Amino acid sequence: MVEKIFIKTQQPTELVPITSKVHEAVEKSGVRNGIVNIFTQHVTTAITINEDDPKLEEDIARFMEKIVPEDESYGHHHFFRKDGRMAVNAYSHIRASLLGANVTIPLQDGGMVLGARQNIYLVELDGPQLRGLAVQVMGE
Amino acid sequence: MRIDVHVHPLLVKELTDNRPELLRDARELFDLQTSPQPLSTLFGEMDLCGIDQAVLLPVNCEKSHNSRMPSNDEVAGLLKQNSRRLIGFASVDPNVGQKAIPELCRAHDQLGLKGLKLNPALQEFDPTGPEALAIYSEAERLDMPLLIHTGLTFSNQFSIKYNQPLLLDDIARKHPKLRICLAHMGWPWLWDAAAVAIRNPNVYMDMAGTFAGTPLENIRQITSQIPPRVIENMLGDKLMFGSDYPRIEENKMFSAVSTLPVRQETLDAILGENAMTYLGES
Repeated sequence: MVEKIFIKTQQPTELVPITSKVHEAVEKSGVRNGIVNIFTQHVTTAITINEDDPKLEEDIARFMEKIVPEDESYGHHHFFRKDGRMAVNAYSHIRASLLGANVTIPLQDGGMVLGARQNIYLVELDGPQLRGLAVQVMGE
Repeated sequence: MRIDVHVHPLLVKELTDNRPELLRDARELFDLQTSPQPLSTLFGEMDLCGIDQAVLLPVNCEKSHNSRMPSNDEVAGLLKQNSRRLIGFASVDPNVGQKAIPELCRAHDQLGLKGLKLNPALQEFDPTGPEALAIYSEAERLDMPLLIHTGLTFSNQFSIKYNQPLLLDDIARKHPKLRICLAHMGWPWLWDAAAVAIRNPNVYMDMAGTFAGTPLENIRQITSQIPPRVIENMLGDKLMFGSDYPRIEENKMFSAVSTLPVRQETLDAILGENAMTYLGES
């Protein structure tokens, strides 16, 4: 079963903690042992796991901006007939590719096997927008 | 006060959920293929860059394409809950002839819509024709500023022959009390639009658009054609910030416009004060 979670992001680039929302989905599924996969359906967002620290969240966002700068000559920046608009966010796509579109976490006795400092994040890279995530819980 | 004078109320989830044909028309006529977003997404964008108000620009193609994108009533509906953040313009279809006039009056008197949006390409009308002239006279009488699309449209469904900025010069001269905004600075006819704006006190231009590339590339292209000195000294009180949302994210356009090589007070004027004058608020 795939559960959809919707998150309203606030910034062009931000890390949004979603551990509690994933936990709710796991509880709702009734699965006790197995895995949970969190997948983003958007090509300018990512899913990642890291330490629960607001300053680190800022560091990650800032570093992504540093290694994939906005003001560059990108081939992606042309008129997209299929969107009816100019594509202007190649840097967001590249940053998303670097971070990845999903994470999978083991489940044991009804809980996620996360390290004490591990937090699941939706990484918004072209916000603010309303984003949809697919959470799939598998097991018994 | 910071104002975005160019926002299309298309792909607003509150409207497309209610009227699916609006989504169809946005895709087929307006050529916008991205997903609807709730109004809160626009407000989030506005908050990011400190934009206080956005002007909503509908386009009425009832005769030409059996479509209102969206209707004047729908625009008024969006304002009901959000009058502090949104300013509504009306649209009428010049192709319906005299019937456009009472609708314009209704939009102003009963719906509280403050200006008039027209798009000669999409609405397929001659902006110098008698039907349009009658509408301008009424808008002038009602003190409703006009925002008219000039310049390129990416979609080649429609002719752009009526999008030439120079066509508005005579209109501006003959209707001196009608405040006119040439949308998109008439891109690529920037100098034509600038000429009309420079010589007519009642003509303004908005900077919405990404025809030349990303917002930053667009601004650079504008300033490579029109020297910063001209922007500062001759267009500083004429230019207005517009995003063209949802064709481009408001904060991206704002960041780009903020790089204009002009004095801070000129930039402040572009970001809001000129719009206040154009809208009749100051």
